[in-house]
Amino acid sequence: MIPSMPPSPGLGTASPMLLTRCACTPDQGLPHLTTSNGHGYFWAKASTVGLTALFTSLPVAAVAHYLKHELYDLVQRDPAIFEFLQAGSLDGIWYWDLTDPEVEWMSARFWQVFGYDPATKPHRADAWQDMIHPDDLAVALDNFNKHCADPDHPYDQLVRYRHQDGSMVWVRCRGLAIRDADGTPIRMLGAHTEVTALKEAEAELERQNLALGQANAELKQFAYAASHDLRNPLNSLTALLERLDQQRGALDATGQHMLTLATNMAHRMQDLMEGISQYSSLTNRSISFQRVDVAALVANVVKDLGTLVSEREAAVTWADLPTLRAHAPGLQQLFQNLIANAVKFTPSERIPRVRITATHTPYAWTFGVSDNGIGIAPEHHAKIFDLFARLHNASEYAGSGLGLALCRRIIQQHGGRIWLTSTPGEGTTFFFTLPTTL
Amino acid sequence: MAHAYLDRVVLIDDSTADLFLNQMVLEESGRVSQIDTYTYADEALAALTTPDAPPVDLILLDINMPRMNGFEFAEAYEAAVDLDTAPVILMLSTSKHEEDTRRAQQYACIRAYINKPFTAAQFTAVLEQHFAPGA
Repeated sequence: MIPSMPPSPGLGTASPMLLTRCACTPDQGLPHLTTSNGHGYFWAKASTVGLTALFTSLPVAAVAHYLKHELYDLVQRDPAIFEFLQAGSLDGIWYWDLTDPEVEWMSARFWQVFGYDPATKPHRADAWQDMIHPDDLAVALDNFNKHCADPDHPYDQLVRYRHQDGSMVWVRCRGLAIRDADGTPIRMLGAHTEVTALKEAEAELERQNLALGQANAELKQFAYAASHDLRNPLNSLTALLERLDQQRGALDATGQHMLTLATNMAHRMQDLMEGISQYSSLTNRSISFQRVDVAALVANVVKDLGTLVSEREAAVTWADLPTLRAHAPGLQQLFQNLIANAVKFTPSERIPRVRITATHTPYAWTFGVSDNGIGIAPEHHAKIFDLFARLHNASEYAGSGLGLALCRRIIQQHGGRIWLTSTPGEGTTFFFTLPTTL
Repeated sequence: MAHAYLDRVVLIDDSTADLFLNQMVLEESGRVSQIDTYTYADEALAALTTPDAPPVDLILLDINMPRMNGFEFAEAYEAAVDLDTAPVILMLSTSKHEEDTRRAQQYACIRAYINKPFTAAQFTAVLEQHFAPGA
């Protein structure tokens, strides 16, 4: 608790701004204040013409506001002003006689913050020493010694006090050594600011962060289990069904039909597992950004999509795609999902036309992936990015319901956003932004 | 290339379905005389490390198993046998996690890490790589 105020004009004994003299300059008719360091101040009620002439001869920083001067002057003259300032901004002050270290004056508020009646407390330095946390007292004493030796070392620390009711009170304690002509500290002025609510909020935030971290770790563990532990039996199941399919002839028509259905289900399940695995691996890994030629990346994606694009004779075109910093595997996955969706959700009697564009705004690139597909009704625009969101049943349009969730996750990792516009029956455009600041 | 024949192969997997499927792959290859299967790695370890245990050419080892997992088996097995004459161990897993792959490389007795399902083509590759004459 022993403490440090920055040298403040009007309070400190060595303030360079201290007013010493008020003089009028008759030739300009302006009241003129000079300071101890020779800089001039002016009461601003003066005529504009005269001020302009004078101000141009002085550095702007040296000219203080007339109200500041008035206030600093007032503080010196009227104790009520200082009283108001300390009561309004602090939770206790103390003033310690370093030439007689047992003597220390403490304000009433000092004690009230800790739940004590000021009248019962003596103005002695040992009055508070059994209330402060010993660890914090050690820190404060260390800072006190350093501050006394070197005025540039701040006396400023957070300390814990025990309230009368047993609870903990957090206080920011600052102090300023007052020195004699030789520079020897003779007094110490201290100021308390109570920060218990802040520290409690901070601790609560830390608790919540920890809980969040644990929940997140559990979620990752779950995703790992989902993609790994479930995949194993599923793969075995698929292999068994394939074995059974080799002996298809031994089954009757109903049996063969059931085998086909079971195989389809197993494959669908595998698609889901693959999606979850991709999603969780994307969530788990910290990603790195590198320069990506988006046009080359899109060309690769289209090549990789191979039969999906060629079977439908889809026309995938792009123009003016930039080179920018991004997570290349994520961006690849993103374009793959959006282009595949565009082709997949175009009615079979229509040739899919997919157009990829990019426009530059000051801090981001905005990409558009347009199609002439079935479109998406407005009520589905928000939820379509959710995990496992599907608008069609599997027999109509195959899919895991994870593709767009994955896209959103990728864009979030880049600090961008993704949205869409669509005309049902005519087509959809997915937009997403990638910040240029990555 | 001359075709290798294996006298004895040991399968360790807690999934009876996987044991069945892997056994079929080995049997259909026509290159294995005897196949022993274990659903618990500790039982396999006990059987393989008895003094009069018959020699084994190849072990297919699952990773995730109750009681004793694949890595624990590898560690105990390495400590118990002469590595120069130890059989080839293939680690089988559905895991594509790099950490598992890295960990598998730490065991001298684990000669390959293979993703399930184990196929006839994979078995042929293993025969060529580890059991071809002069290999």
